[in-house]
Amino acid sequence: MRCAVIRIGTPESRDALTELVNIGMGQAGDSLARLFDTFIQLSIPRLTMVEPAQLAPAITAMIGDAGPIVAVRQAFSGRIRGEALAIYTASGCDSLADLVGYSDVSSDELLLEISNVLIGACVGALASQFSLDLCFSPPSILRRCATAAELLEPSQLPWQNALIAEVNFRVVERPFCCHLLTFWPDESIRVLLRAVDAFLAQL
Amino acid sequence: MTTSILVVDDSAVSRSIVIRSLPAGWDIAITQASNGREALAALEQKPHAVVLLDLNMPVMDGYEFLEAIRQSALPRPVVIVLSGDIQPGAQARVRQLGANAFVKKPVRAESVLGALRECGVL
Repeated sequence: MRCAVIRIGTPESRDALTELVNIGMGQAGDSLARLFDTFIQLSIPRLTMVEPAQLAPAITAMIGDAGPIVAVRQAFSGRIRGEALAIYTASGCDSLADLVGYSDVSSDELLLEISNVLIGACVGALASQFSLDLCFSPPSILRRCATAAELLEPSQLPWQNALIAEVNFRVVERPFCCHLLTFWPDESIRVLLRAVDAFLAQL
Repeated sequence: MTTSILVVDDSAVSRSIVIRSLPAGWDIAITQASNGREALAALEQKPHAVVLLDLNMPVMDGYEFLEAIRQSALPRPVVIVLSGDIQPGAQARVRQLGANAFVKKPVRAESVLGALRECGVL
């Protein structure tokens, strides 16, 4: 299914925002690399604007058909607000305890901790570049062993358009992979783009 | 003498930030490339003294570019990696592949200046 293309700012502001997401992803990747004590392969960030009805096909297109997935959700608020969704393959989650070298912690606790580290670093780095203070809610496991279509119910999403910033973290030669999606609703997109424009004006 | 500098980054905004971070009054000629393959083509056309290289790029990333110039007969430029991928493994890997210095993004003028001095370019 194709998603309608909704324009995100100017090409220059889109480029700047992608680069700032890239920096946030790098800081999150560094946190994960230190936690796992291994090298983390990072993707090239992708920005997509979608309507609620397009969300499930957009997520499916991003994560592919990787089998059952586990999703962790964490909200953030401040002058910008939104939600982050860390999506893992169920098979990759099984190797978590082995990756971090913990044997006495449940895989749910590990997932929540890893998601907290990734989301905090990625979204926090982006916000700090605009001097925007954010509060994070505690992360929670949204669904376990779901498909992308089952993750979110479009009619319950309180926005008309959302900017999805997608970054992926992959451990080389291990099944672990995390797709980190951040959703920015309408008003936050406007705040974010104003901040990007102010950033560009300083160049 | 004019110093030829090749700035490689898929983000035009990022290239602009990097160029603006270079010391004012320095006699330089700048070429821009948006991925490793374009950068290789630029080096094949004419030698550059310094390459300021991003890592995470489409088509050919910074690692592949470093590997390619290591295996080529091209004159070896000073390569300073500027990347948001700041994990220790990334920094070690680019050093192994022949990069001379590593600067963390977001790029700050003083960090670029320090790297240029570290490499003996300034």
